[in-house]
Amino acid sequence: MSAALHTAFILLAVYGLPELYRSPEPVEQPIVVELVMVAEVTTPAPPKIEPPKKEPEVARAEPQPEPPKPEPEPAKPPPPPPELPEPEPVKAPLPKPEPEMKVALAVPEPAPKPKPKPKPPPKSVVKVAKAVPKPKPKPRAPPKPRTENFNADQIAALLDKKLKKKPRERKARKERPRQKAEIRIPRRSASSRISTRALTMSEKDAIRFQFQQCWSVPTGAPDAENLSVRIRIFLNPDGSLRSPPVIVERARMNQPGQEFFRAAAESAWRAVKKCSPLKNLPVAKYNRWRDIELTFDPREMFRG
Amino acid sequence: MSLLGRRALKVLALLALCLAAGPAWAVLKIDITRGNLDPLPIAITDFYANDGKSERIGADITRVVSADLERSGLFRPIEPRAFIQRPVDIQVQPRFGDWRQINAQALVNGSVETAADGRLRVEFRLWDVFAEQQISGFRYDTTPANWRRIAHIVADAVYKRLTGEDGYFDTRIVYVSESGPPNRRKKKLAIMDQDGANHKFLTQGKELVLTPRFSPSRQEITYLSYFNDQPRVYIYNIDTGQQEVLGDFPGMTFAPRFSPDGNKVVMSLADEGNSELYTMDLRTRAVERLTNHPAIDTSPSYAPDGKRIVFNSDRGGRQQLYVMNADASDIHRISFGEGRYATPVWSPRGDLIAFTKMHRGRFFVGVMRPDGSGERLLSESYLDEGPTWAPNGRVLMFFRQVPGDSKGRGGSTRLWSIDLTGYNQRQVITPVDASDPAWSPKSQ
Repeated sequence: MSAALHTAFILLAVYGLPELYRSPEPVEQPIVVELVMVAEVTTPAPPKIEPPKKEPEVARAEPQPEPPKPEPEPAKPPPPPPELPEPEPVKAPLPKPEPEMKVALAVPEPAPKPKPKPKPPPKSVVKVAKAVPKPKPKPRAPPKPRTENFNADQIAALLDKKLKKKPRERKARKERPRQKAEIRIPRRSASSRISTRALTMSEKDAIRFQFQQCWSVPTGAPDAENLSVRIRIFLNPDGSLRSPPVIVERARMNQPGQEFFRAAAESAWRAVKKCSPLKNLPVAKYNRWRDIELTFDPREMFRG
Repeated sequence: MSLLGRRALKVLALLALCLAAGPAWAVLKIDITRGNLDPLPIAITDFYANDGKSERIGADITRVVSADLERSGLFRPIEPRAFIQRPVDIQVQPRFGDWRQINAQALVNGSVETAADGRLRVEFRLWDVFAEQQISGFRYDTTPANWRRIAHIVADAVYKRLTGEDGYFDTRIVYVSESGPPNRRKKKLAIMDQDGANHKFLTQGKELVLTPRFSPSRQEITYLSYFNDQPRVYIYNIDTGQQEVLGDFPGMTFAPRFSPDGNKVVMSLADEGNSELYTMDLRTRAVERLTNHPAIDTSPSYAPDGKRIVFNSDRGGRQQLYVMNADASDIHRISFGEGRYATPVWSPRGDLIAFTKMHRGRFFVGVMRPDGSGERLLSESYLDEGPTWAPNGRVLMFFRQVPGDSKGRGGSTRLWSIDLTGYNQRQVITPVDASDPAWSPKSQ
């Protein structure tokens, strides 16, 4: 009897005591998951067709680039050389550096444009200058120089590569191993290349980030958290504004007692103007971002 | 064709129609919820003038406007040497491309002219550089000696148009100027413009002066002084220099505060250790008692609509803030944090109450909403006390004491200002030590 009790006690000690020191099983916590569209590449690669956009920057910085510059002046990948025709005569850079940004795929003006200044400017200036002197808004150059410059095949190649990179959102994982293998370059017309796929989170974030840099929030207004301003913008394919930004609640700005709203609306309007032209927008999805409604809401800045 | 076939055809046709619609574009909606807190870059050009004397005044005006806007922390005047267009050309038409090039978002220009009768004519314009249009402007005729006020009025106009808030630059500060060793302080009442100019002493320092308070509707102050060792309240008219005695109030430690219409003052009086709140009508001198409680009730301040009063009481056991109606009904506590709360002041905008808080040996100046929520501490130090609001309810001024060493050397008491967002803490320059600031309402 005693032995049995002793044995029972010993067994209890051996198997029971460790239980006291074991920590409880961790409880399964549900993890909240939000489904968003994410691109294969998180930072959208800058579109390779840079040169036409760079002209304005070069023009603003150097209206008079006299000394011959080295080739990689545009400071972006080298596609420019094949697209440049032989150096144009003329085109002196005028002191007024306000180039036409509309000339996205700019056409070089051929010889028939007589200009008195015979300086042979370097290649970078050529691209600048042809944008600068514009008595008429859009010079209609003969098609021949256009095809020399505008290499549809090259553009097709670049665009399609980008298209390939953006996986179908539903079948992302399946496509991945395939993409690296086949990079076809089919010849298609421009219209069918415009994608109707929605913008991915990273592309929207890229746009959002640019505006965040430009917007100076008016703090300190009473009830500042409730001063949200909506602005409609209409964009050209190169990211610049097609027309002045429109404040959705325009009428409210001029009402008496709405001075804080007016100050907030103007700060948002200035942010939009300051941020124009927007950079790194996916040209292939132009239809998706040609018309944007921005809501400037400083609510998050007043937390905590 | 069978019925089924026809229906199928209709369905197919509808489907085809839906699919045949070309790529539609909906408006893309993006929320921008963060931005930066950069001050607005503004270009303030010298006011153009034809003759030398006016040109000097023009340059002075520009300097004062620039300093005012920069001190507010919301603007960043651009270095004048970067300007491309000259004042004389801006008079004709500003070339906005030039101003965008130096990253200005707003442009101020103007002109100064001395008329034949000696009067000064000042004209000012404010331009939006991105929108390329004038957004504000006025013309003023005044005496040449008044150029500083004109400069402050210009700064107010720019501030108001670009931020929506009333400006506070055309105001003055009354404070107690202190000098001498810690055990024999000489205190004089002093007044100066909010940028430190036009400094003047109002009393000689023979008697102790304390806690000046400004009337919200008139250029009058009340302050506490000692006469025959008795605290006495004076009313002093800044413009005329006339002074009269409001009364002798034994046991008073703070001067009264005015009601928003300027006709009454509210004060705390101590009687045998029990401090209560009273109002006095300035015209009839009738005194009316508000609170009746064994606890210490002190430091009252009116709301800008005159309907409520915030004060400091320890009826809950510890010094806390309470709000009641102007007729002393509905007394309720609004502060519930740790530490002790004192010197509440209601903002002229009505949306916040500023206070001094003491906790664990440190002093804080903070704000909270009138219902007690949203408490935020703006500053902290060995001793920060006595906040006073600018008339636009945006900027607070208080005094800060830095302790001396054990021998009493090296300490100082100075005025500091801070924006209610907690940014832009700046020292206000005074000739000697200073305490107890009171901010005037906008000059009429």
